[in-house]
Amino acid sequence: MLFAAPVKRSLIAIGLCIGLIIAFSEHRKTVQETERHMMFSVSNASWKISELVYEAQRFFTALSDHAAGTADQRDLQVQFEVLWSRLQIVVATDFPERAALDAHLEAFQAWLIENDQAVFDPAGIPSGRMVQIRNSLEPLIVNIRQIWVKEFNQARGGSDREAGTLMRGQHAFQEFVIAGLLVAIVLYLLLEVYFGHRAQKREQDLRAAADAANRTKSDFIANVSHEIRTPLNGIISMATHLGDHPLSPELRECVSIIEDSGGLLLSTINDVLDLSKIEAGEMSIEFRAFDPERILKLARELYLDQARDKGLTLDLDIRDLPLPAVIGDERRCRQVLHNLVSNAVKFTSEGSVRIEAEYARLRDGQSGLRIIVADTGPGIEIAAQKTIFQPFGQADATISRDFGGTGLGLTISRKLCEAMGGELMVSSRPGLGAKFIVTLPFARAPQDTLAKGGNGSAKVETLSPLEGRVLIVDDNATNRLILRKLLSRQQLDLMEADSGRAALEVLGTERVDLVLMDVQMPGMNGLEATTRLLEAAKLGGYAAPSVVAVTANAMPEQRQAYLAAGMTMVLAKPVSKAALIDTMRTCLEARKAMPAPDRSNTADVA
Amino acid sequence: MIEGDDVVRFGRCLFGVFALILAAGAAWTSPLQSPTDRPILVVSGAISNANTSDKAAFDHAMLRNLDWVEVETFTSFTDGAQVFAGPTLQSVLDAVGARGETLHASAINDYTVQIPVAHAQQHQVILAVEHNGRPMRIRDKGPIWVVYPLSEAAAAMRPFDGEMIWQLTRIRVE
Repeated sequence: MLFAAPVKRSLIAIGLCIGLIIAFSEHRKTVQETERHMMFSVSNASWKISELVYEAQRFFTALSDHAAGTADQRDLQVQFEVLWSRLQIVVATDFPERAALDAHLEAFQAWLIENDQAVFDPAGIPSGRMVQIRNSLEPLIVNIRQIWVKEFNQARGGSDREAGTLMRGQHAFQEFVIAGLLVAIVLYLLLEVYFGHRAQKREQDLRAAADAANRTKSDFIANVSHEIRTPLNGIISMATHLGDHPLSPELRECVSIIEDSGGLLLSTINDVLDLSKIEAGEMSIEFRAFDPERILKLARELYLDQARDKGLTLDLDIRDLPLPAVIGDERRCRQVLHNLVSNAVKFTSEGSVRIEAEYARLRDGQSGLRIIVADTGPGIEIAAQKTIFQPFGQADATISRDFGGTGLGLTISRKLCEAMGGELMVSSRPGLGAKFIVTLPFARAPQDTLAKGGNGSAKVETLSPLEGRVLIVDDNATNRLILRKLLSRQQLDLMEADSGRAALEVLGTERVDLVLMDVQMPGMNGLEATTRLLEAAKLGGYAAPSVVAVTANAMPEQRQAYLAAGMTMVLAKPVSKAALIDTMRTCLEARKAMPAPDRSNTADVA
Repeated sequence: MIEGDDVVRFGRCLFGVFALILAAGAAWTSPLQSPTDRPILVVSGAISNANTSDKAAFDHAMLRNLDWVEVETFTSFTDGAQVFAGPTLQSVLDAVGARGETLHASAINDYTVQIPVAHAQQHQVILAVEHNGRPMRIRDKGPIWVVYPLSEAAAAMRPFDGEMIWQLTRIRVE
């Protein structure tokens, strides 16, 4: 194939157009030619007749001169010859007005023949004959002239028509060609539109099919990962618990490997699940006021120990203190931040990791958060900077072995940033560290939407053990055990219930600050139990406990349903110790700050 | 710098060259004889050879003595193949030593057309005196018809209808 199909098609279209232009210009030329020919035809006949009349007049004059003796017979003969030739020329010319002239032309011809001999008479023309010649010529001239003037003026249209017929055949052909080309162009356009439409439809169908397939894949991945997460929960939690016991160094090593591997597997599954949700377009972004300063401090807090262990400094530099509260998705924002900080700490072997943040004007003129995570690590090659955001696109295949990680973190982070309307970019040179820049065009939250006291920052710095009375509700004994183990280091008063009904019974006699509520339980499920216990508290006139859902079913819609039922927060199983403690701390401190009814239960005693 | 001696020498040289040219001209141009019969063609203007004052007049016999040819040709004024005979235009121009580039050809009734001199050689133009074996009378477009030999198809295009003047009696060379 010489040309691609679109090129071929456009060549055809251009060819048709050029053909049309040529046909038009040819047609125009023919029309002009016809006009010219018509003019010529008329003027040609006119010219010939006027010449005839003129020569006849000259013969007339010559005749007079000869009679007067001022011209010889030879001159007269020449003039007679010329007149003869002019008449032959008119007779040989074909023109529309000929019919009217024919009789007179014949008479003229007869006159010439009649006088031929006399004019060439070697003995000279008798004077009587000369008068006769003169008298018989005069009416011939007058008649021809009169008829010509009349015919020429009145029957001009006929002449035009007549001349026009000569070119008519050619006209018809050219008009046929033009019409043919126009039809071809219209057909071409119709076909183009038709095929374009078909191609579009086919593309839509294919896309729909691809979307459906993708959704099926995402659903499958979501299901599989859920099935994996539940048993994994048991493995990790028990390994963690085992690690809290005195063990031989060898066994401790084994336990830590189980823990680490389990953790890696869990984060991989979480990441895959996240990514499949993002790609299926099922990820919902929440817009709620939050304090970015808090999550920045928390992120630093979380990785500070790890950084210290490696001999790194981990600094937080907030350019314009205090950062304003913003409206955005706190959870996703935190996810991105944790990923970047953990990467930076992971890949940097000496030097520092620095988190910079500011609320500033971003590239496109919008205001928003700019968070920069800079490290003094090995840096990233330019070529690799493009692939690190691809799924499993770590800069080097050995990195996975050396540093662990799923290779999905940056992919997810970038997609999350994009989903939130922002960007995640990297700026790095090998050997000079890397700088990850997050820009999130979050609007400034109105001043009063966030009760932001001095305790916000104080809380982060003093990680005191949790205190309070907590009820664990789960039908699965292992799950209850896991939660108990995870909370064993805290100063909590822990109670257990194995069903929704049992939980209500416990609450009938005990006052607790917080309930960790499984959702899916036989008999009364967690949602119903929550509704009931909140109602009971309202009726009994006491402060209802904060209810935290601890569940494997933590899709955004489900989350919404739990919050609607009055639960304060939602924790997805398998629960990490950090997330569990962090969540519980938030709830318990909120209660401490507001000793009266908590957020989920407003109408109550003071 | 040209000195007096040089000027004299240069002048002599120039004179010699002129003399040579004149001699050569005399040798090339045979003197044109005078017509014995009634002339049918008079050539005037930029010519080297004349026989009546500054003009060259030809009678029928003189034309016949030039490069006389007979051609079968077609014209848009006639039907079918026509045989014309007469001297080539080039031979007439040679005979008078024509030096111009354009011929002003006039008919008996003073109708005049212009013919490029170059056409004589390019198109083998003839000054037809006989048509289908007979001398042409004035009434038959005589005494001379300028004819461009053409094929039937070429004649239908009428490429030289403007130049093909009939009843020719005079040519002025410019």
